[in-house]
Amino acid sequence: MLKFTVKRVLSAIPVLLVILILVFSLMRMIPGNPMYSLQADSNMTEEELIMMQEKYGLNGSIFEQFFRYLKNIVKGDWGTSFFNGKPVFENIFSRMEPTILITVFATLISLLLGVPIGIYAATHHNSKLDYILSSTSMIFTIVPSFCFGVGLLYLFAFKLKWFPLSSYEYIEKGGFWNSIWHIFLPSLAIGLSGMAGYARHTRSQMLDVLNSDYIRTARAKGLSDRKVYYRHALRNVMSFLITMVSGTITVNLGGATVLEKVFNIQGVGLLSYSSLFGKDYPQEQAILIFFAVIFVFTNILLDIVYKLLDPRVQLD
Amino acid sequence: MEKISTAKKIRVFIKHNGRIIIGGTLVFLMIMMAFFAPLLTKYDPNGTDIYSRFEGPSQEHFLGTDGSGTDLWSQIVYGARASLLIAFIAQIFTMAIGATLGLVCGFFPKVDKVVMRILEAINSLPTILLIFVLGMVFGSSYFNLILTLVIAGLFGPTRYVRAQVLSLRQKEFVEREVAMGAGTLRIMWMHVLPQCSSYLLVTLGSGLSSKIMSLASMSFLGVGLPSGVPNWGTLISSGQSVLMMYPYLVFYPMLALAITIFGFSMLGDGLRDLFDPTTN
Repeated sequence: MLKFTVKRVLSAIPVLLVILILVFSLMRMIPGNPMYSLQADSNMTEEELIMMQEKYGLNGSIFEQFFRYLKNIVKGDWGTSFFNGKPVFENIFSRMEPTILITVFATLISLLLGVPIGIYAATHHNSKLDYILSSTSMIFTIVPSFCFGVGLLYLFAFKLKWFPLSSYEYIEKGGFWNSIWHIFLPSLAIGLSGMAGYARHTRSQMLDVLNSDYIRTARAKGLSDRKVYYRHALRNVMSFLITMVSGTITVNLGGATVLEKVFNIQGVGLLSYSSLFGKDYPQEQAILIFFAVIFVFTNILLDIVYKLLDPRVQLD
Repeated sequence: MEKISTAKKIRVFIKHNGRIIIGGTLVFLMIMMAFFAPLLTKYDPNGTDIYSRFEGPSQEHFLGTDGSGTDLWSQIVYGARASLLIAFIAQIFTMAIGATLGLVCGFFPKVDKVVMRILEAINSLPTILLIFVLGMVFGSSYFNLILTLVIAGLFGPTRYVRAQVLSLRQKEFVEREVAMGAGTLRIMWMHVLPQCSSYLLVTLGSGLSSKIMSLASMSFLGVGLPSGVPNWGTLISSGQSVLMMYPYLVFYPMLALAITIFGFSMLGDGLRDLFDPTTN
């Protein structure tokens, strides 16, 4: 198990390095130079411009810049934002609470709604309710999650006034449930979009498992339906669900960034859009790498859980 | 042998291919709408008329007008053009390039290492953020927009085709072909591609709907399409600022988006059932 974990963590290093190169070069490929717009705004002289470039590590060729960036990262310095001069990760950490909450909560909603629907649909295969559940959950996949967001915002916040219109309040300020109340609608929008996928895949996996020999054996032993479903069938569906969660995390993280715009929640998503428009290189690089690292490490974690559940798994 | 009446044949066909029929009809209607846009509306999708701002649905304006007096129906009808055209082209290129990359990766381990690491890196970023960044990098033009969507969608088809190559290369009949002196190209063309074609076909529907969604999200966030090109994402985005007063400005573009995506998913599901009997 330890060997597996170490191997899995080590295998993430090349990917992380490629992400670093990719993100760095993508940012430099965006047309325009952040310093020139700064210069135009504040009537800087040529010398001041060069000084500023040196201060922010924008002098020299792109390779020099990259290796300087890499060297600083190794030292633990990810750079400072061009805009507020704070270390980039300080900015991210101060704003990541709503983004993470939305992502986690949305994933929970899709899981907690989708999986039971899928199980029910599979165990009552071809019944009327199976059709109704399968087709209603499909409705939620036909518009992007931000459309649901706008719809929910209109219905529940504007019209019914059940949920707040004001933007996010931090846990520190109003407590955990108050924060959940503020992010409920965006999470629901993302969660419902993801629900159908879970329902559909749980249903088809469950049906596959229910047709297998060992389930027939279990039934032949005289086990009740309940025991067959929950003790034998569901356990095999579990490992599949874990793979699905790992895919959902990035989708939901991306969804959260868009929903932040719909609900005007000042999270990492809005920060990333504003730093992109403002060409705040260090800030945007840090955000993209932060997201990628979340993805890579969730995957490692899920792989380990997967291995614990199903010891047959081998790394390719 | 009992003769099966034509009516029964049609009934059976509809029963088994209901989704293809519904999806196909919706997609066909949308394509027709995009194609014959000028015939369906007399208004310019970019024309402004300050005397008729925020008018509700009327005989003059079928779905009402927006904040600059532009007819909403004309914007929706013309909006179908950009969405469908870009989604189609982007999806076809995604599949073609993805399949080619997958083949190359499967056969050449050295290329494989580099390409797969890059694609994994791309895949580890949230898609919506990635297309946003790429949209900023490439700027607003049709070509660049398609390029953005293709890059963001490459991972899936490449990984699938690559996996197919790797598993097929172990098979005896391929080994026999190799022993008989078949070149890599011949094996790719004669043995691997046919195995992947049903996958590529069944992902066409879902791929197209995801492209349309990505496009809508991009324009909602304000990147991608050149300004002035009517499209649903931009309509929703601009409608959201006056959501409280004029919800219909958001509702109708969303409906158009929903109908299109519904059509494509139905068609895709139907095709999957038709061509891939193993799925339930």
